[in-house]
Amino acid sequence: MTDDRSSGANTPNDLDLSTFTDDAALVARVRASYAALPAPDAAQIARCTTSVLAETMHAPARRFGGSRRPRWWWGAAAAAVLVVSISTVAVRRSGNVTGTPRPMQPVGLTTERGDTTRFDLTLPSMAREVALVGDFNGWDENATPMVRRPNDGAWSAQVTLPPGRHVYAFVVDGKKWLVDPLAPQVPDDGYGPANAVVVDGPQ
Amino acid sequence: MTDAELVVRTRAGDPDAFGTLVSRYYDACWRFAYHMLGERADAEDVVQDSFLRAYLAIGRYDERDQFRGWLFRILTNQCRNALTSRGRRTRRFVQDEIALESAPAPPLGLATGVEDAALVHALGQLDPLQREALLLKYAEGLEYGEMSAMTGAGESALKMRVKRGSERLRALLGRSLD
Amino acid sequence: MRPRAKTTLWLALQLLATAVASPLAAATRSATLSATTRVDTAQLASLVASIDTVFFRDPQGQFDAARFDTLTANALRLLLDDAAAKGLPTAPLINRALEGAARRVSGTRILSVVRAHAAAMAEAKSALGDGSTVAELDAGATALRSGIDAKTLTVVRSTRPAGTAVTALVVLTDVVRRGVPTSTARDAVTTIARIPRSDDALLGLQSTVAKNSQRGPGMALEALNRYVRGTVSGAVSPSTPATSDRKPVRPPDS
Repeated sequence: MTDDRSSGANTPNDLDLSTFTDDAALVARVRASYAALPAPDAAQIARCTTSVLAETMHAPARRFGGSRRPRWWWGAAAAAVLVVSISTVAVRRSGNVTGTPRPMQPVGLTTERGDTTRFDLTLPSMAREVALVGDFNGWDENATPMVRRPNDGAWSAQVTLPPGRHVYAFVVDGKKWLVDPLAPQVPDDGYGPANAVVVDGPQ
Repeated sequence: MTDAELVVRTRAGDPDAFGTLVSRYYDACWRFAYHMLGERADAEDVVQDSFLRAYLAIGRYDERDQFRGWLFRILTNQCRNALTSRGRRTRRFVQDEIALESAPAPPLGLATGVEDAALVHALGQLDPLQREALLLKYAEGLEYGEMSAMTGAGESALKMRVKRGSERLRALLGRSLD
Repeated sequence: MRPRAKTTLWLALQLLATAVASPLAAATRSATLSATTRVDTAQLASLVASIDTVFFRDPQGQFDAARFDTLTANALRLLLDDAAAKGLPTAPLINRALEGAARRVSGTRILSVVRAHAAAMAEAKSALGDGSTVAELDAGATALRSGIDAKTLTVVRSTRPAGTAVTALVVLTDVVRRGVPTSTARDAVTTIARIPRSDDALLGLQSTVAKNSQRGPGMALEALNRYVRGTVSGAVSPSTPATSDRKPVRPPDS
């Protein structure tokens, strides 16, 4: 796939697209990279299929326009799919696809903006209240209640943290302690796991 | 079985038909997503999200469209969403060429792979729209007209993205391009 | 007064003060026991108060005792005092104690965790050096408690001057917890940590290992190796030869 070739001297001009030709070496390199990437294995592909089917099992009305009543063999297929999906490596889902089911594990995010650090948390199930606790607020459940975002139901809190390492966790409905599974973990040392965040800046 | 036949069966509730569609297009979707996002786990997530959305929207798919193109439109949107929702924790390492040149050789025991990590790294430094256009053009082999239909951007704009993306890539990859 | 002597005196006085200040116990005790309580309470009280003032004003040792039962609070004060005497920072220990209180864990467990963390900080101080910051000792102690050996900490220290090893320690602890063997994790973290201003790269390593660890066994290690390769080799041209097409070339008909 090459564009028109233009003969003669070219004055370098960003807007002059007619002189632009595909760089053959670059094209080759990109294609080579595609080819060199190891193919996803059958297990990964199967995981995708079963996860999609399992997730849509919970929302039959949303599947597609038209027939809402599942066919008789859906039941058998659904049972098989559920068995497979439960026994497969746990699916981690991000909650950022609107209209789709909740994630299967908490999904957290820490973002720094200026001198504040924002903690976001998407939960697998409904919660009445979520508190952010950590060494910056004496692990006090009442100190930093999280606010539920209206657009996607995620919980959020902002704190001003000095640069350095801070250990934290989330408390759901005043009793259940959760960690962000993908954030750096502080391993269980007799209490249960917690998370660590390292805030940028001179220390 | 053609894509159209598989779609019809999927609509009728046949999970195997959907499974076949996934098998057919997973590889292509994943390679694109990986080059867009630079991270295998993210690519796997995004591809799964895309197939989920495709499944939920299969009732609205028009058989006159190419299934692959329709699927890729969903995929490119999901890749964009994934890129904009990244927070600090997933901020990728911005290459500091000086720092890299002074870095010591990797210790023994870490095997060198065949993957073109330098290219993926360089792609990661492109503006996402340029990266997307470049991959659709060079890796997926689409015509500008097809790209325009897929992304909603005009052909000139897309050409400009490919041009600028290429120039940036060339600058980043430097002598290694030959 | 030296801290240890201060503590011993304080403890002795506390015990006496408790005996003095428990009228119910005094009333139910036998006559022989009640004789020992006939101490000059006024003098004792003022002595306890003065010790109180000297000890509890120590800024390093301050914490909200109300969050613990009396016995635990008292024992904690001893632990903190002991740590301070060893030149260890007490803030991380207070944090651990408060965390335990918030989790509604038993006083016994809180004390055992704090004690273990204090011991680990002492070991971390020896491994990371005297100039290490509070955060480094805390992160180092956590690393040691998670099973990483002191020698590994010393290797990490060799890559970063005092005060700048926190991220490396945090990332090291995390990737080991995700299943990467300690020696491989150490090599990966130190390779990246040697690069100037590489804290973001270290966090990127943590992120990719965490995400990929959920994709299956061995994926965490694979991701780690890939990431380190990519970080180090970015400026070097790859060895992959360019091929022009993904499609297989059909052999000519024979």
